[in-house]
Amino acid sequence: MLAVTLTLSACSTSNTSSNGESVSPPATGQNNPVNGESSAADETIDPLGKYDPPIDLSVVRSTEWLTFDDENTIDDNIWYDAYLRDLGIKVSNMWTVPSGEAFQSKLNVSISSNDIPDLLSVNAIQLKTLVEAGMIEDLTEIYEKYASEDLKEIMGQDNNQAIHASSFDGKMYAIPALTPAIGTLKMLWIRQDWLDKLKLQPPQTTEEVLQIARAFTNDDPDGNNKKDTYGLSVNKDITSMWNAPGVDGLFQGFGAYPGSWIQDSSGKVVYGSILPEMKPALQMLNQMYKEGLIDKEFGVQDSTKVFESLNAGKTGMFYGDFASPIYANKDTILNVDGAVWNAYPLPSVDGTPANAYLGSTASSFFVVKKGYKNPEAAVKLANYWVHTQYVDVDRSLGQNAETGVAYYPYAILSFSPPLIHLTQHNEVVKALQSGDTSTISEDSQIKIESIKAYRENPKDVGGWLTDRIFGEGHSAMEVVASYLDNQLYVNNALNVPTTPTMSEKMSTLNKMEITMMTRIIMGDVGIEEFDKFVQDWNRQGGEQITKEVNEMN
Amino acid sequence: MLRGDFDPPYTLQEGNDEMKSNRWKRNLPLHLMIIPGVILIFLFAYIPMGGIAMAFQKFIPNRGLFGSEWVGFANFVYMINMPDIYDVVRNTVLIAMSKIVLGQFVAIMAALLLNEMRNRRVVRTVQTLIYMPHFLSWVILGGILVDVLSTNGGIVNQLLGVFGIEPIFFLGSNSWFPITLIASDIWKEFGFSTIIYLAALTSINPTLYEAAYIDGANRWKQTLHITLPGIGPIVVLLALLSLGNVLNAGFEQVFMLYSPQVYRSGDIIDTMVYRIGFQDFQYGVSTAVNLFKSVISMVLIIISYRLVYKIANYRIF
Amino acid sequence: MVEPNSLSRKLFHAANYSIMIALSLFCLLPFIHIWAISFSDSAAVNGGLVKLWPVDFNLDAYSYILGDSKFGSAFWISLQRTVLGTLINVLLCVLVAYPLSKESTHFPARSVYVWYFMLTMLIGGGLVPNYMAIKAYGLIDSLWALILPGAVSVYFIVLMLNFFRGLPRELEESAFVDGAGHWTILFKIYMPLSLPSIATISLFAMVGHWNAWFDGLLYLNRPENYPLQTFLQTIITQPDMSKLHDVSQMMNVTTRNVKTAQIFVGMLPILLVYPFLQRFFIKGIVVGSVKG
Repeated sequence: MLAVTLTLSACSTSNTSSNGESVSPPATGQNNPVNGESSAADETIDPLGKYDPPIDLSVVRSTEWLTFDDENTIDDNIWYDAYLRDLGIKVSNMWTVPSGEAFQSKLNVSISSNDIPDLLSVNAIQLKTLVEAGMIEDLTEIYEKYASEDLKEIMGQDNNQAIHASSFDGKMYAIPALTPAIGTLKMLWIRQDWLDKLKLQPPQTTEEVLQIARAFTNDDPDGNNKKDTYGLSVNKDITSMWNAPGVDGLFQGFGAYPGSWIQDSSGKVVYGSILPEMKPALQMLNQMYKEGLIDKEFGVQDSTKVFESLNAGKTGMFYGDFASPIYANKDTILNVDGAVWNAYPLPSVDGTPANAYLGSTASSFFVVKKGYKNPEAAVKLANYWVHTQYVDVDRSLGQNAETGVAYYPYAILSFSPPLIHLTQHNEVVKALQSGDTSTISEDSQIKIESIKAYRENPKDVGGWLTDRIFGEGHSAMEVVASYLDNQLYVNNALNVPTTPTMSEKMSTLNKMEITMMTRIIMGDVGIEEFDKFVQDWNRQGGEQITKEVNEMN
Repeated sequence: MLRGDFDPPYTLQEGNDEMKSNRWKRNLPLHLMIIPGVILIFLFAYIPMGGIAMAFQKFIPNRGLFGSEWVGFANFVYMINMPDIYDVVRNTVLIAMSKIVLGQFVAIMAALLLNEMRNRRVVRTVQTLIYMPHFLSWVILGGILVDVLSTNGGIVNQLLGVFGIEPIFFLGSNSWFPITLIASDIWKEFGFSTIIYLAALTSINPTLYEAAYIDGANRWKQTLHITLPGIGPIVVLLALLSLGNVLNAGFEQVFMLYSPQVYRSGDIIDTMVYRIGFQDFQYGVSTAVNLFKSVISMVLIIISYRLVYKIANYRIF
Repeated sequence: MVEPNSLSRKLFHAANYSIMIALSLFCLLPFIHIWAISFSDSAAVNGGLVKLWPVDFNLDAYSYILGDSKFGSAFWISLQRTVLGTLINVLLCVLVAYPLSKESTHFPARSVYVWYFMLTMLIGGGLVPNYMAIKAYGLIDSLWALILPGAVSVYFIVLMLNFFRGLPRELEESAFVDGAGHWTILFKIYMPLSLPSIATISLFAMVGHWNAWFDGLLYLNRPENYPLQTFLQTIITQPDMSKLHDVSQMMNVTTRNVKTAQIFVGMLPILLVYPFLQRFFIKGIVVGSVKG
């Protein structure tokens, strides 16, 4: 409990109170669908009580992102030992696969052939399928009874959005895997060395973005006397939530939120792609296309191709997220001497700070197979995760300090408090300024070592990206903190995984939408095509979907 | 030489009972040979075929095939009512048919040309090299093609530039995209398809060529009158079997190469079904689509099987 | 072989050789590109700077692969699967194709059998029913789950029966006269005469087994039992960022030069099989031996 509170209060150095208000809920578990009668008469329940004799629990695992050492394998590791020792839960892997994509393929077949393990982690669509098929346990009462106060506190950090997303008809069917939703906050990454060379200021407005893009394209920022550079990255998906430089951020600068469901001023939930704010953003992209400020072949380029251009030092701006240095542009510093990437908050159409889109905090859902005799074990596992990671921190379950092998991903039920990365950023910055690393967490200490290594050697990629994400001086986390501190974000307003008409029609509507955007940007059709799209969208199911979303939400 | 228990096999016999039992005895080894195959096919093809029922159901996993709700042809109606379905079917047939016809033509040409080459070492090297692209997945080739076909310094457009041709946006233009799909698929597969024709060529009796030469036929005439008829049955057979693919335009390839600007000319049945699957678990719909594809293929194959039998008096299988 | 030697013939040869060699080079280029990537530094690869020659030549990718024990064991499993699977494929194929190559006047059950087999080529149950069947047979996690479902290939059978029918009828008849039975005729006469077609089918079967990867993912529950292509395919994927708890984990992403090196090493054995099998395609051995 204490450590959780600490996590929250440490969120932002400058403005704790407003941050606390915006992201943490007033009290724990109050939005939960409560079933009061049953819990009243019950015996006292130990959220971390041990089963004796031990119970069996089967799971399925993906080993993506996991590293192992001599003592640990996916079938027998420090966490599985701890589960047996502390909780009396004997975990066995029904199957394991090496990657997330393979995991989804295999899981879909498992679900369709009614061959699922006792505990599994699923996505929103799989969750809906499992609920409709009656294949999983209703956890409403169990969660109320067994969840520790600490667990409820963390689950409440997002105003219970994630719990809401796990519920159908008021019944909670899953323990949501919270994720730092700050990963969905977009920001503008710029080659600072190019700006400096061309004597330009960082952009405040979208108009300035256009001017910088012009200069980056036409004024030979890489100094090779060839016109071989571009101002801005765009890929063929145009917008994209994760893991790719979509230009969502550019749209958001105009107050447009394509592909997202948001609340309008009247409180109604609406689909961002059909709002009139889309128009000026599309016109700006069309202008950039016409002038050659974006690659004329963006329409066929996937994110890998776009990253190549960034890494080769040929494109000077992209709209990314806080993790972009890891997957998008880290090799620039190896390929181009003196390359500097800085992160800036989204420039807006009128120069006032733009509101970035903040996505869902539930990335996946832990569910229990129908008929499993101890469904409360799932809640205990969640309690145990929170207890050992954030309350009474058990270092031995975190990371091997010497080898750096991370142990915490071995846990079968785990999630991150929505604000974890921000906490680390604040610790890192404070320690860098004071030189005192004694009071900060092990994770943050490792990050500081890494940043120091980069300061010694400017070609140390690991240190560079730690610096760009967690460090100081236009780092990603500074931008994230500025959004959260000043409440410059728009929340995801879609709290159901899907609706009947959405399942049926959304893929067709998405095709219509992406085709419309591509054609307008490429100048095949004028901006009036947007109005026609909005009409068609509503007529071909969009209106019905909007209605359903507002009813079900 | 001693006579065994066997009668000469291919003498027609009027069927009285004794003859029939004789034939049964003689054919017993044939049945024994075929039995292991029959059993395996039963276990691994006929038993799972029960899954076709899903096409007529709203399939719920834990109720299984017997417990799920029957919805008649609703899944098929859903499929037919999808907007753009005509575009998508047209694209699929156009791309698939072109790949089949041109692919087979190029493979036969390559086999014939290889057959004319006399330097063994060169023949083997060429054979091996043209067979290699078959082993590259479209995931790998997709990235390479975007580079190679780029209008901005891509090698293909540079070559065309030498002949004064303006750069062509192969992957982004609706008129060129299907052609690019077809051409790159043929390039990838022709070497591999050649193998089977090369095998067929080996079975042509060389004495035929000698006789033709003595009769004064040149190589062209020999090719026309000996080689082509020699591989004819295999060509017809493969053409017929490939009809099973007229609605398979190559999911992996299209998925890797297409983009919103070429949806109009490049979206195929399989990619559409894939996008639907992203929204929801629609096993009924995807099974219905597959069944639809199978039925079309089956009808086409049976018709052509009959035609070949009528015209050439040849049972292809 | 009879070879006229006119001028037009020479011109034809010149053109033919040039076209075929140009085509071959065209097929070779992507391999050179992949080869170059696998020997390059990952920063250059991520910058798209590698074309047909390695940039910042290094062997990191290969030492990484060869240091991974899983690669070796996956390779071994693939080898077992390919050898065993191909043998079973080819054996079942000739066993089924031989009876079906008989005329139905002499083997009346033929037409029933033919359609019994053909139907399965046209209609399949789909992924989930297949999985349920294999699970019911208790084959999950066994090598047989990769071999048995495809053991009878109707496509191969149809090819083979057509090749068999191309053999001279008199061979069989005279063998019968000499007292040979069907088994003897198949194994002693038909099979030796059908080496080119058997080689073709073996090659197809080998390539199929070597390249198959999805069945491995579906039917095997332990990555340590994966054949090579399943192992490679499940590694070469776009990492799923939404499943990520902590950014520090992302440092483990396998880089592209490693992936291409793996593809390259995984492809080599099957590429080498073909030149070896080519000696069975030498023209004329079939009919030549028949005459003798």
